[in-house]
Amino acid sequence: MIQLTSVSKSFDNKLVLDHIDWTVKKGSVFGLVGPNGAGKSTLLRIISGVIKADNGQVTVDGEFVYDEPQVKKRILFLADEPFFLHQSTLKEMKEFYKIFYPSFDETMYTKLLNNFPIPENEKINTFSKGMKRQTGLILALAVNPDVLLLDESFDGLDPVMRLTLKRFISREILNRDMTVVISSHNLRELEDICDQIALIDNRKVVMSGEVDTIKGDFHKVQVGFAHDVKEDIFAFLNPLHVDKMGNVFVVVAKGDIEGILESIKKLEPALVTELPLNLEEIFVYEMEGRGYGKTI
Amino acid sequence: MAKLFSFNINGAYLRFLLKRNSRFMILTGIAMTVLFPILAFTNYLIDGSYNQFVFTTGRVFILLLLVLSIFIVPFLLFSYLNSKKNLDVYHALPIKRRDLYFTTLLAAFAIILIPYTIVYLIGNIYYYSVIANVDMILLIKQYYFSVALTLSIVTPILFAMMNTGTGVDGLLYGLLLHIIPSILYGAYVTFGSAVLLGFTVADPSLFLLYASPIWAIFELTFNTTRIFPNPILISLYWIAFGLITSWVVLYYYQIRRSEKAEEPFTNKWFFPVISSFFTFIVQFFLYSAFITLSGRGLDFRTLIFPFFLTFVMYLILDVIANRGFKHLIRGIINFAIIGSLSLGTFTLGTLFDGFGYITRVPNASNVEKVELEYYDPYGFLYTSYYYDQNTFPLQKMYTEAEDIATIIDTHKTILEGFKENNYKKWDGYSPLASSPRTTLASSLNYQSSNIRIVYYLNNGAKIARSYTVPFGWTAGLLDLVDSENVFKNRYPMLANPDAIVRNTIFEIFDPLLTNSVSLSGKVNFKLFAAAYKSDYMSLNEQQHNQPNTPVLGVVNLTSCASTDICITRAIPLDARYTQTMSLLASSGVTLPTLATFNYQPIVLLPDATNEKTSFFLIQSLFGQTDFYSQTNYNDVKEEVPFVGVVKYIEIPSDKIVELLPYIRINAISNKAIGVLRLESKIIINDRNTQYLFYLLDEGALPLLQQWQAELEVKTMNYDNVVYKYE
Repeated sequence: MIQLTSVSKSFDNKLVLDHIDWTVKKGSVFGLVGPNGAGKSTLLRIISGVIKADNGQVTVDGEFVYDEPQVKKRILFLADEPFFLHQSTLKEMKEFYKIFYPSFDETMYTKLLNNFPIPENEKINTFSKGMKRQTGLILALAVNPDVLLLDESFDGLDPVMRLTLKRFISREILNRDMTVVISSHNLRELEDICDQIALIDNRKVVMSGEVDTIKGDFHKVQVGFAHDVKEDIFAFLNPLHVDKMGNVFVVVAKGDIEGILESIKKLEPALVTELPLNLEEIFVYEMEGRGYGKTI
Repeated sequence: MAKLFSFNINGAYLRFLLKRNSRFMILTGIAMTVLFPILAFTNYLIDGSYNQFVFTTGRVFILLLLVLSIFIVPFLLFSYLNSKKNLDVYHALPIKRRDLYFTTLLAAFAIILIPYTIVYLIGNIYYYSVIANVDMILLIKQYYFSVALTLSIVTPILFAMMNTGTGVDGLLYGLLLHIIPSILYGAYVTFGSAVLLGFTVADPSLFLLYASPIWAIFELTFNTTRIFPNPILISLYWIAFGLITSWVVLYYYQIRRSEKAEEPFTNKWFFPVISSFFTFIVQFFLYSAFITLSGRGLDFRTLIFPFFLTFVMYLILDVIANRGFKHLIRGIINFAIIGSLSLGTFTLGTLFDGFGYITRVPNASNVEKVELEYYDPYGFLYTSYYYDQNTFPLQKMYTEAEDIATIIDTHKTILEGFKENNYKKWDGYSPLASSPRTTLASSLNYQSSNIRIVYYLNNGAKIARSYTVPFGWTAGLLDLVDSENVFKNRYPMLANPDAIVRNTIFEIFDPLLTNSVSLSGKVNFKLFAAAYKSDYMSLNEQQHNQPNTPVLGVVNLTSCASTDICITRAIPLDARYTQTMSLLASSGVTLPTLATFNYQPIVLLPDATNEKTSFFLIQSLFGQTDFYSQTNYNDVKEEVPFVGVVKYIEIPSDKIVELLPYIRINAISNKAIGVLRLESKIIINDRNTQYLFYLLDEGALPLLQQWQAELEVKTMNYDNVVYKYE
């Protein structure tokens, strides 16, 4: 279990994370979302022990992480830009990781190589961006860590590879009880693979929980009226978003769907229909509700 | 704290780094091999013989390459510090940061030293197999010094890397940290030389020996004559420095902000501190250098150019540091503060004459010993011919209380002279307004002497001063002539006969060097040396400088030491050298008599009409042969001495014998009598004149007056200049 307690971090007196309290249960796949500059990468760096929090505590299974090799052996952090030694090959990088991670699994490495067609003895710097990503992922997965931290690691992969990777991660979690934290802007992908999700905004974790629970908490309802009404008629719902096209409204609001529908029906609409809402829309509406990107 | 000093080396990672950098090691090894053993072999192919110098040069080359690789390797191994994505991996690795640091440092150490060690070993085995009498201990010591100081050169570079975020900044400031001691020393020396009368440094390389590891590695490895400070102790100092700075670097490594990687500086204080200090000392250096070059003393107009030159330099550093001009105003303000401080310090230091530095002379009771270097134009105390510091070292250290007092008195005399001239430095040519001496040497003030005094105080401190002064101001040092040091310097082969393996010339001449008798095989050299030394030391300074007995003979001696360094001396004998004369007599040596000669001797006459013609000084047979009179001053300045001024008479050869009782060599006189000039039949001491000069004693006056009446008194002209260089 990853436990963050009141974690804060500043860069040059600029507060990036402000008293973050966050828990990731063992064996879960956690999606980390948030606008650019929200502090997702900083949070992953702190969890992996790359940087130290200014305040608060970070523990993995109750043990501190920063500069603690015994704990860090169980964690692998794959940054958004994968690193490879200068002029190295995948084989050399494998040797490099094997030095530090006793858990490195040759069998899994071979299995991964079969799934990801990466030449083992060619210089990595000749690879395409997608191939470099795959190389990074092969190494990260072959390390076989208890905690895998992926910082936008799916970006640059083609759809087939993404799918392969997702399947691989899903299988491993089932088999090994691995904890995975994935930060990404691509919420559709997270929706497919993650069972939990957290939203970071304004230096804090503003939303965190099971994907299904979150999805169940946000609702999109289409409402049509026979007569002309104003937008603020829905103010009592405290909506995240209201769209108006003639006398037809699309309202996004949080809460119990039964209660929301009941309240809307009291307005005597001609039409009330609940529309499907995916995670990306939730993220967008939630962020809009927080003032992010509204001016554009 | 205790935690800081415990670390583990990750052996697997160390091997991994060595393997990954094996190509660099091979490349360095090949370069070193080419510059050491292959260079020596190539030289052998060309010359057909092995030359020790080529091997030494090879060792210098590979040490240069070692230093070069010390600058490169940290950037190869610690380059991950300059990339955020690299840091994300390295600092996420399950290894403690101090373990990662020390493992990488050890790998750097090995990558630097492995090729050097292998080539040093191969090159010196080769050297040992082809050169005779190889000093193995020296080779081992040289290797030890180069290895011992490696860490201390690496750590300032690492320190720069820990405080900077890019490779370029790391390299720039690594270089800067290494050159700062040299510039600091240069600023100190140029400031002292420019504005402080008498400024000198007791041990010119001592500061850099302790301040610059690069200087120290070369000094310790190749200056084999240094015995103080003890080179081993210096190496231990640098080892301690390397270890301490390793932990300082570790501290900065651990607090280094990863997020600042790829930015110029990871520590906001690093640039202001280093660049301000660097600019300050460069300003000091340039102010001093420009003042020296201008020759106008403290003139603020002279400082304008160096001030703005350093302004540009500082702005360039600032622009590089900030990657643009966005902080230009702040940079200008910073520079204004630095410039004001340096100008203020420089001006105060100049106006207050170094705060008592100039006038300080220690009390004799506080002085343990004095090192004196004195270069007078006549070579009375220190003749400069054929000196080799290893074979025949100049004796400079005076420990006798009487000698120390003489040197201190002379130092005071010099300061009195300068005081009368407002403590202005003397250019060595222009006449000075006054002289503190009114004795015999006062008329010699147009001749310059260089003097350097280092006082070793009882408390272990040193005071060093150096002056260029008129010879007359240092005339008091002639009192040292009866010291053993002067004897050793005049006749090193007699002072240490055990060091002499053979005498290639050992003969005695008549006083005018016209006739000689060999002493080889007749006179025991060691007995001769002991007798002459005993006779010499029995005379006091008055007897040495103003002899009252005629020269009876001159021993011409060329002695060689085991190093094949040979030295030649003309050794005068007169009746006071009783033991020497007895030895010659008991050895069956008859002093040679005057032979006939076919050249024209002349006697140079003082200008009797001029009161200022008060003395002659002559030092004829060793050192520079010369003589002067006060009236000749202007002619000397024209570099055509005595022409149209000096009168002379030509002496018939058969009358020369009448002068023999009155001729003196190595003598000073405060009364102008006359000087006998002969053409030299032989060259002793590699003198660069074809003439010999002998001072005439007062007893010769009646004879000279008689000859002046009988013979034609002539005047020197361009065709018969009395003193001619060839």
